[in-house]
Amino acid sequence: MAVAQPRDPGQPMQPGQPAQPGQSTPDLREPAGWRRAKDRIATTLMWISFVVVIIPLGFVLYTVIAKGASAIGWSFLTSNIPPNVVPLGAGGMGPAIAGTIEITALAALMAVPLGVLGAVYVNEYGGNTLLARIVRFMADVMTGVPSIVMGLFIFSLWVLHFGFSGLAGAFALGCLMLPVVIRSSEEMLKLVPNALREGSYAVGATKARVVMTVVLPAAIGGIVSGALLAIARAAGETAPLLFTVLTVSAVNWNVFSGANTALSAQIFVNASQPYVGAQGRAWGAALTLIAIAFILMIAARVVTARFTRYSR
Amino acid sequence: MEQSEQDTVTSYQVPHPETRPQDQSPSSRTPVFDVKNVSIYYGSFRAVTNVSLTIYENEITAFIGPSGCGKTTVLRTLNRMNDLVVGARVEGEVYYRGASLYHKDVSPTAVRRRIGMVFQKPNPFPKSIYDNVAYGPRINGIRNKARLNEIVERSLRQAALWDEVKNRLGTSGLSLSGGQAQRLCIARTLAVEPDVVLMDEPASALDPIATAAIEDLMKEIRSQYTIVIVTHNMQQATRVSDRTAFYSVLIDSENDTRTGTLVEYDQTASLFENPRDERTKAYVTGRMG
Amino acid sequence: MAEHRQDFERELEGIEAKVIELFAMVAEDLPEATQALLSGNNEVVQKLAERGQVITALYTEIEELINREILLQAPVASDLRFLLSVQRIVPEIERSHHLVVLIAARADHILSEDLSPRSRGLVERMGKLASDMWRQTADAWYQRDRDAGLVVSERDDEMDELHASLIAELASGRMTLPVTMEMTLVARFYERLADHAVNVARRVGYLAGPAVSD
Repeated sequence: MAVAQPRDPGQPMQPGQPAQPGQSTPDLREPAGWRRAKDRIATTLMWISFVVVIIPLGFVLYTVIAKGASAIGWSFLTSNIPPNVVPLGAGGMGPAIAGTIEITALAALMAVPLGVLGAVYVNEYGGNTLLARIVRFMADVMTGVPSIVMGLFIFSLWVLHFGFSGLAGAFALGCLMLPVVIRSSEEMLKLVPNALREGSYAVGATKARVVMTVVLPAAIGGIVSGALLAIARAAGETAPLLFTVLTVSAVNWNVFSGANTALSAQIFVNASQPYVGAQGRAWGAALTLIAIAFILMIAARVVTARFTRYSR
Repeated sequence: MEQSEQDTVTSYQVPHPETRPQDQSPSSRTPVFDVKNVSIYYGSFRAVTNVSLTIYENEITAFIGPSGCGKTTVLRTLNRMNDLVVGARVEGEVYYRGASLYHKDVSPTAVRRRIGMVFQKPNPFPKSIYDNVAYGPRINGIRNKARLNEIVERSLRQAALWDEVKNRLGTSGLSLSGGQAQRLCIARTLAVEPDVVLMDEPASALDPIATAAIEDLMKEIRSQYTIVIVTHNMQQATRVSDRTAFYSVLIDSENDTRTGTLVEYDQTASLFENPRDERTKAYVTGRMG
Repeated sequence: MAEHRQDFERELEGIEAKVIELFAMVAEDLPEATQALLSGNNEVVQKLAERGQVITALYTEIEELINREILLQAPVASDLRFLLSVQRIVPEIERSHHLVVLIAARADHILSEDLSPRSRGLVERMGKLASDMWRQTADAWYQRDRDAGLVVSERDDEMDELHASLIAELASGRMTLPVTMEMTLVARFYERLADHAVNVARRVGYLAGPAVSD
């Protein structure tokens, strides 16, 4: 193995030749033995894991696209939900799409600002006070609450008194989103280097100014993409909506009163039907939901890129 | 081979230099900071003890000393940046042009608008170069675009950065090299037209040429500002400063604590040529920390 | 033109200007002193003595400047060599001018008629040689000529020969005792002037640094 030797002044360098006679060129390869084997085993395991993960993902995607693509069409996206017996081609999932969008948007409108402000409090103002520690703890606990429990919670608290509505569904989804937004925003805020805060204080900014003009703008990319991911997840929740939204077959534009429906709920309802039409619509709805989530992911990327254009 | 130096006719005498000629740097002796018996605590830990000194207008004052001697702590006390540390407490008096800095009615943000700070590691905001410099004036209420443009240009010129960035004010502040980024931070500090500029090892993260640029800058702006600089580079202290304060560490072996204290404070030439305290001498000659 | 540390550059240039001034004073005053000695003109002495005081003041100033620059600027490379060289040659220049003053002062004690033609001729030659050597040294300093030491040293051999001849002439007893004694001192003064010139010229070698090989 050719190795660069320290240059002996006055003598031209000769590759492969030792600097002093009698010395052999050192062999710099990894010595054969357990260490080399360990390295190879680890690399192989890593590749295997990757394949194992990719396969189901790819399988799911393929299945949904294959089975749902035939259902998609403009009429599908806009028509009302027909009775289950109706075959594919007539009717669609219009109300469900509208419902998903309405309910998720309302939930986001409630949960995201609340979550971001909560994270700002916990990270910038709360520090290690009791209240901040309680908030952090509760946020962690809430991320573990099963979504159906959340739905039941809203059912007993709100629906029993005020009836089914998109609003109730938004509450349920919001409660699911809130702890996630708090935690991810807090992580993003923690990532903002303290040096930036100091730089802002040093020119005479108040704490609020520091947070609004330096810390939040610096973290905003991560916060927004975290929020969009939380929204995308919430859009796919089924269980909480079952108890809060009921179902409709025509679009209900009024989020605040009257039953509503969403794609996730419709998938649940339709997929368990024996009718082929209904099942086909379920696949279509599934594809639509995945598409919506996809769009949100891309939006997250674009937003992050735009907000972090000054970070390099 | 040296020829004999003896002059045989008259006894030769080396001309006697006059006793220490007048100071070459005229010191305007208006005091800007009066620090009296200041001790600084973090919780119950006493980080710095018994510091008293006066900092004069339009001079560059250097704080030197081994690590842990409290020089940065004292510096940050001068613009109330220590308030940001939980549990920090200052005992003693710090006067800024006669006003007590730690009086209960004093607003730290008002203090920091007058006493700016540049940090060891350049910390430009992830904003455009223009927005970095305009940040201070904007939060002080200046909205007029023309005025902001003027302030940005003036500050960047003072920081010797204008020529390098004038055609790309919209690019990110993070895209600058280390030396440029530090000058950007200096421009940002100068944009609010403070009275005093505190610098915490401003060139320690920079290469020698960038360091020379910062030192030239300091000497340029000295006539308009008062500058206090913490440095662990003694040649830097001798090159730029008019006065030098040497801090050292007091070790309490019983409680196993280290507390910083001011040992000697004098005009730079005097302190380095004839240090009065043994500890100063040991430190500046590099014998001991 | 340096991009940084321009004030340090200016200080160094200031010191160089003062050193050149010192050289100039020696180079000008030496032929005048020789002339005064040979013509018996003792008015020159006053002027040269005043110059001596100027030089003393300048010496002190330069020394303080060097102290300050070495202390505060941590010089290296040619900056350091320059400051150290200046520090070493300035005493030699000051001493040399003192010798020049002493030579001129002899005009008080000797009447030019008292000198034998041969001794007069030798003094003239020694005076001219010393002047040449000092002018050469000053030029070498200004141009940072690293070979100056060699060149000036060779001329010192010439001076030694002249010195020996003058001593021989004085020993022959052609002049009165007082005059002989004074002239012995004068011979010594010129010889010492040459030595100082050689010393200074040698310092230029350190200042200029080793020759740069291709």
